Amino acid sequence: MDEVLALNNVSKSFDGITAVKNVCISIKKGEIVGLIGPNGAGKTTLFNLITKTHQIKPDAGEIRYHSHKINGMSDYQIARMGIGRLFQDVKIWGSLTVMENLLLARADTLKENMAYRLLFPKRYREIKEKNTKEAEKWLAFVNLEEYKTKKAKGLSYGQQRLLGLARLLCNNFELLLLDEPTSGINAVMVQTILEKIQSLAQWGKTIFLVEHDMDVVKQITSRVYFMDNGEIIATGKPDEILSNPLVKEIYLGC
Amino acid sequence: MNYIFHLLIMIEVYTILALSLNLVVGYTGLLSLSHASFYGLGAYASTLLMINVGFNFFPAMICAIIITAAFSLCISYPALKLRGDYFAISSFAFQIIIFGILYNWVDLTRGPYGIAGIPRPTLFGLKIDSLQAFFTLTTLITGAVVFFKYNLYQSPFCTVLKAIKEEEQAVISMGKNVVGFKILAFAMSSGVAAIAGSLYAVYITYIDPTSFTLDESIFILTIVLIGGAGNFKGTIVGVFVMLLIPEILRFIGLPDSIAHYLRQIIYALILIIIVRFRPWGIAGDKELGSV
Repeated sequence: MDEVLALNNVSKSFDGITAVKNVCISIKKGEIVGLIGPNGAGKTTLFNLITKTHQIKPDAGEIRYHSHKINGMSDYQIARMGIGRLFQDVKIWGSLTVMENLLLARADTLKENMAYRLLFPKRYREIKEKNTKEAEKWLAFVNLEEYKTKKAKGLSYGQQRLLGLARLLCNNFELLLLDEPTSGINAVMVQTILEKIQSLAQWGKTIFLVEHDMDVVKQITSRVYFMDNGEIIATGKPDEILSNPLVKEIYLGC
Repeated sequence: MNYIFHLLIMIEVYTILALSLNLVVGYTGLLSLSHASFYGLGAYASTLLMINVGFNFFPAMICAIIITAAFSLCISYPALKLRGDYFAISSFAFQIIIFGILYNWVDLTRGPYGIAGIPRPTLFGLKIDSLQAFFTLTTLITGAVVFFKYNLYQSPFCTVLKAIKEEEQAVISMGKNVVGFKILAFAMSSGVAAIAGSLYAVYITYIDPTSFTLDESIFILTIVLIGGAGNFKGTIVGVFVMLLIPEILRFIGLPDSIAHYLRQIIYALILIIIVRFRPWGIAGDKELGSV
């Protein structure tokens, strides 16, 4: 299978404090891979290093996406390569409508302007129709069609997470980094989100997720990396990791 | 009647200025303290092109737009890679530098003496020198700017700017070049300010650096904030409020020396009242813009 994401000996320190140390990760196309570990283990920092969020980049090591080295690229270029991210705090655009949130995710939404309309009327219509159709498709996928003209901030927390997910899909990212996609959401909504994530993997999307809920990890991931103090301590199938004595001691408290 | 026309022309000039600044402050969420410098650069660029090179008003104005937009890159390219407050500080510095250049480069700008005798524009051989004709010209140009801005504010470009203001990181994560958007918005805003500068120069027929000071930048910023940042009609309301309320003082018959200070007090009071009771501006959108 194609290797989608590869981290080779990635390290990062902040003011002498090691946040990520010699991390090696390999994720293949269509996999759902989990990243677990106690708070402060460096999971979100690792995601930030991959997407260059807040301009942070590795002190050592390399990050490859489909064998292209991406550390050194700028943050938006990494996203354009096909790496999408659902942030822990979702970061939806609350003052925009649900539909606008999705349309904005499309790469060529900017061509929907007056000048382009006057210069290339046919192409303008095609782009507008395609973008609207894609946005509606993914709205239906996350069951938010009835809210499409509503301001996004009016949605419940769980719905906002679904909107965040739909936004990633509307952009057609191939690798999805999901930072705690189910935190703070009721059990019914969690199941909905998990089903959506599983369908995405079946369609060929690759998913790397940070999660604290071990039931979720067991249910959807095929492999798990366990991280503590910036290092990957263990890796394997979810059951193996969750029964690992070290993981039990450090993370599960038993 | 001349007084009314003069007031309307100045309202139109400030409408252009405020609408252009609104793109940066209201939509993109960048606090810019240098708008008067772009207003001044536009005024000086078009004036010098008309006087020294012999350009007609319209080609001079178009060149002034391009020159001013290019100057905006001097501040936006380095400063927009920084965040938040650094941009405000950089724009403040830029304002001071431009004022310094206009004031001290006497060979080019005549420094504190200013440039007098700026030629009135001609259109198809007709010289626009009466107040009514000038009002028609400014109305046409302001109308074009308003039309352009209105369409721009409805466009996906502005939706991206609003999204940047709200959650910049999410916009980057969608593969959009946020710094590029900000630079473009700033250049568009500066270029449009040059239109106001060009109109002001040919209307007053005299310019000197004191018309383009930090005080003026703050005045334009106050218009945007009082009317409602990030809002089209709010900006226009802001222009009327800020330009018309102090005019009331004229009819009270106060001496100029007192009226000048009273005007400053009125501006301060309006700003305090707005910040306290309606931080999103008189006609602004509560969700989008706040002082």
